[in-house]
Amino acid sequence: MYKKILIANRGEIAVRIIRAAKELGIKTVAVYSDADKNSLHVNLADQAFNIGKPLPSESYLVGKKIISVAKKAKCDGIHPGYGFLSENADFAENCIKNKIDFIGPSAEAIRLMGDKITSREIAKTAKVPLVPGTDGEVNDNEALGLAKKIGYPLMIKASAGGGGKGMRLVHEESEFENSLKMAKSEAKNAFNNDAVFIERFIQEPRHIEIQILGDKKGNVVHLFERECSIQRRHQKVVEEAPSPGVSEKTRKKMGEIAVKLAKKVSYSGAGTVEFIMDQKENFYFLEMNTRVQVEHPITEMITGIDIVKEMIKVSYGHELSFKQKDIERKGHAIECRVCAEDPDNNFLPTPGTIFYVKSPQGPGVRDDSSLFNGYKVTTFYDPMLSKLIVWSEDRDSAIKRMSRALSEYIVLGVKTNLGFLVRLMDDKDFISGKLDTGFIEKHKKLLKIPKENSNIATIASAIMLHAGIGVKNLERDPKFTPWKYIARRASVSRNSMF
Amino acid sequence: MKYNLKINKKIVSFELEEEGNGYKIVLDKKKYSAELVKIDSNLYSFICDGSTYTIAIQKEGKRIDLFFKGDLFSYEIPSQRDKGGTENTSGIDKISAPMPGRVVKLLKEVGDIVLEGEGVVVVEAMKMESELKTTIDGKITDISVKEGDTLDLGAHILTVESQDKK
Repeated sequence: MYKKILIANRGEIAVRIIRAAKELGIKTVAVYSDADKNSLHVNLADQAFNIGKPLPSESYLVGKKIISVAKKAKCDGIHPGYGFLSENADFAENCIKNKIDFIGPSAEAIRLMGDKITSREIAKTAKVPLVPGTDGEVNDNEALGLAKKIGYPLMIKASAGGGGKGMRLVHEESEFENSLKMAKSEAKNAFNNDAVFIERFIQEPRHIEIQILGDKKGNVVHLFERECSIQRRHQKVVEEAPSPGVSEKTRKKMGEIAVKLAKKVSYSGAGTVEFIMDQKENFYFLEMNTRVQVEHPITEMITGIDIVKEMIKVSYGHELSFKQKDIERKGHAIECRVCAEDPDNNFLPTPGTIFYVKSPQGPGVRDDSSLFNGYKVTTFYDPMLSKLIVWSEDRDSAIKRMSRALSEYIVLGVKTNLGFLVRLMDDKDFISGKLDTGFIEKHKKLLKIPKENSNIATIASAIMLHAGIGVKNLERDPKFTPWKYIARRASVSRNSMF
Repeated sequence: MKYNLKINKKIVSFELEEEGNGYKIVLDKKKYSAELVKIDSNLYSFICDGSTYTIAIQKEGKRIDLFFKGDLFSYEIPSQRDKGGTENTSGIDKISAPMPGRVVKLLKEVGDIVLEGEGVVVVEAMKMESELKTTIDGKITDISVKEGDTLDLGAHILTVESQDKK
């Protein structure tokens, strides 16, 4: 096994990897920017090295610096985590050139699957379903015939497009000719190129992805799917496994297809094949992520497989210790990403200092976090603070458990999305499981703080203000004991948040 | 005793009297009985009309940050000037530039009726667009900028006046 690995990342994922390495008996080396000197990952690692200024382009993205630290500290492996250098094929190659293992797939696999165009081509040869559409631009004479074949509703998109220009949604054939004309003229004006292509429009799409694991001996397995349809700004907020919208038959088919695709590029390590799925369970390949995914814990919870440890073991050359038929799933897991952002203000990040944090506990609760009292949320990095994960025997009880766990979570100092998550877990549409990527857009009321909550907050602040002026001391008196406190609470009606 | 607190630029007024171990509070003409007890550094047990809650509070200078049911409420203890005849209790919301910037879009015209929380103007500052919202229900009575205008910090943009003002 590796003797010592470097973790080329920060935040909760660096902490997650350090924990896995420690449990495998591997020494760990953290790297940190000036902004992260007091971080949890620095504190938990056996060794830590500063790699530069806060901006990622001057620290976490500088492969050269990271490799030179790894050499200096005599590391035999580098785990890239997610984001930063994790999908950078040149970095993976440079690690190997410097005789340090890149804990992830081969540079070749990253290159092939990381590129949207080549990955689509590979998917095509592996007979992975793609959103039906024309392969390239269409000419006016054949357009109507092709549209009929693709089926309605469909999208006409400018080949040179972007920003919604030259894009038309067509519901039925009678609208087609006119829409085509308009899309082309818009494209011509915007990009000086009137080439367009046609694609099926997926209504109320769900984001479903398959977790895969491969070793260097050619074995690849899948660990079932995750549903990640609750998104804002095209980024996931809540994920769950299994998906409430995927039948056993589709699950099996998706899993097999993902494995087939991974085998095409001799994939090793952890990876995710992402699909877009309509409400009738037709699914189409979106892209592949050649790294550990933020939401990997929910798969760990339902399969009992430690994905990060497996990544390290297969990278070292171990064969996967299980076969597809050995993998079973049990129960239901949900993850909520706790972010420093204001849901009522377009989810804008809310930098600041966290005075006080208290994370939930109790059965079936896992909090993958890098928070502590005094943690500074900066604008240099992602606003995600922690991932709250729960497991329970079925979806309904998992939602209730998440709701309970969220009610115990306290983050004081910056606005977070916790209140939104609390309300989401209580929403009847979320509970019913009818999800699509437009869910948040359709449930904007969840972004607002209920009036009764603001009233409670105001009353409590009123007392604080009054006491603060020195009229009355709120400090517990010396005769106060926790037993008295418990008795007091028991004496009032039970309608509390705990 | 009468008090004011400021949240989201809006003044909340309430009356508070001590009553036994706790307090009697009148807010929005409704009466509440409440107690607040510190249990740990920032943690408080809050009992209000028979229900118990755990609340986290940080008080620093003129600011009270309060965490409840997942949401953060930031209150400001208003300065002397804000007390009594404040802009909002008088039914007038004068919207001004929160930082130097530019008017991107006026969402309303003079005479338009707006509701509390409704966006009235989009301004751009530090390359970011943000919508300024009115804190009262009312009618737009004047607009002193046009789209494209640059704004100094605190520059007056428009006025909303409450319609049920005497």
